Amino acid sequence: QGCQSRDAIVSISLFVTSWASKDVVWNNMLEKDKTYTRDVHMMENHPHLQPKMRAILLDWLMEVSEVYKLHRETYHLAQDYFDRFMATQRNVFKSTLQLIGITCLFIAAKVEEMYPPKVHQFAYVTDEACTEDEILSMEIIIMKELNWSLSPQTPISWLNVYMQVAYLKETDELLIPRYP
Amino acid sequence: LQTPSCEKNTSRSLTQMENYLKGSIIGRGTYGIVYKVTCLKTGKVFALKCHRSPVLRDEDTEQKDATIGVEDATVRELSCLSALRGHPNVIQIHDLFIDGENIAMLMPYAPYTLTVIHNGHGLKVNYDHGKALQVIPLSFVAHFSVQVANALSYMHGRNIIHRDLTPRNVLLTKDLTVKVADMGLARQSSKRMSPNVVTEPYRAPELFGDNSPKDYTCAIDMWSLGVMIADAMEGKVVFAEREKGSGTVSTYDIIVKTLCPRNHVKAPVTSWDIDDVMPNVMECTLVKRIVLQLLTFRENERLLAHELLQDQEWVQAAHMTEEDKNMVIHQIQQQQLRQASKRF
Repeated sequence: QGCQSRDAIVSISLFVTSWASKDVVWNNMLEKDKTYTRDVHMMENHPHLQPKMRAILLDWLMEVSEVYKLHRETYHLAQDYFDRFMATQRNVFKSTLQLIGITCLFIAAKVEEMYPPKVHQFAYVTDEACTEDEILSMEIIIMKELNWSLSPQTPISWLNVYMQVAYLKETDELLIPRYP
Repeated sequence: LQTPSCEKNTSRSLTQMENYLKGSIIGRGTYGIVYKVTCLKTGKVFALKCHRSPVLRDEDTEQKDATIGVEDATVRELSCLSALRGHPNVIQIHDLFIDGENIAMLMPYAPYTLTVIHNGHGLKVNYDHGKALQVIPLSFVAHFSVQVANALSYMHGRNIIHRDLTPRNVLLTKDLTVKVADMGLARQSSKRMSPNVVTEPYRAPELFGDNSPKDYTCAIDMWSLGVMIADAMEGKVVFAEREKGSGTVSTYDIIVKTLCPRNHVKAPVTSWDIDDVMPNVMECTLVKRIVLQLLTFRENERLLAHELLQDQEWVQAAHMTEEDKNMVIHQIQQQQLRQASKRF
């Protein structure tokens, strides 16, 4: 029941963005979470890696995002690509972890940013650990493995919807005449 | 036989492209070149969209900077097409050829595009003696707009904005089914996006202005659809910049002068009579009602795709008889002939 009332509130908020039919948008968002499957046991495929390494990698990607002033959504896309890609692989070594991570951010920037940084800028922040050529060949491998499904519903995009709901409560009355 | 095969066959190499015989160029743009190709095994005809491929490079396309990897446009196009897989009015990918960073997309071949609506006459041709002759039936105008709205409703429901809807990017199959194509500019909607999108005559008023990132919604696609309906009625690009008096009037100025409400901050000093800009639209009560709901200056008042599909009168008008279809196909073939003869 709680979920239903949440649905109702969020559906209302989707009016504000005037996308499409509110129910359709809402249902597609829920549906997308189902089609973009993640595997919580993903790290078990990689005996050479410790879970901590993923955390360190993601922290570093966040730093890189800050340096190049990337959008929050870009970072979250990269995290999604990384997790889903790793779930398709076996026995990834520590040495390729950084390459996979930076390439995910490289792809995410192309999807999300108006002016994505160039490949040499991504290679630069790895301090010569990853070359431009390595990033470029990893790019195709990752996109192929993800079946070009590059637009997940990220945590930050959910948060965005919730923030709209919070904002909506105060301005509820303003919206009634506009969208009866 | 439209198996969307992004899923299964993503890893074929260019060598298998040898199974396809490259024919004439059927389109080109900043993205690369589209060829008409024939499958040597089945004899079926397809369109092959090549993104900056050295193997397929034509002499007159310049070599691009090789160090960026897969083009942003290609990444977005494939990402959007994969999200829109299976819709009857969105172009599907049959196969994908990848060689290094070069990507070629094999798609069904659509023989016609919506540029047929630019016939110079609109719905009727007036002959000197005798009565007016109908060349494009109203049912076709309603038909294509409903099918485009179908595709848009699907896209917008998935939060994807096309951002370059023009007659050139609306393909038509042999039986005039609409296939919305060219998703090179399409993207998931977000807060601040580039305003530098959509071919100018089809660009919504909220996109004009400085080059700073703007907040806009899928309503920009609905504007483009409205312009295409008006184009079809008038037989020309209604918002093309034009010469008037001593200077040129830009697309934006035409829009402001004809459609900006008086109580709007951007209201012009002198406005134009919309009856002069789109007389055929204004003459037909039904079309006028639809077009004026799409070409609203304020984006939040604009009709959305699923709302247009709920308009019973318009959807009913979209029924095309065989005779109607033949009339349009005849018109397209005449136009293709004229264009071909112009070239030589």
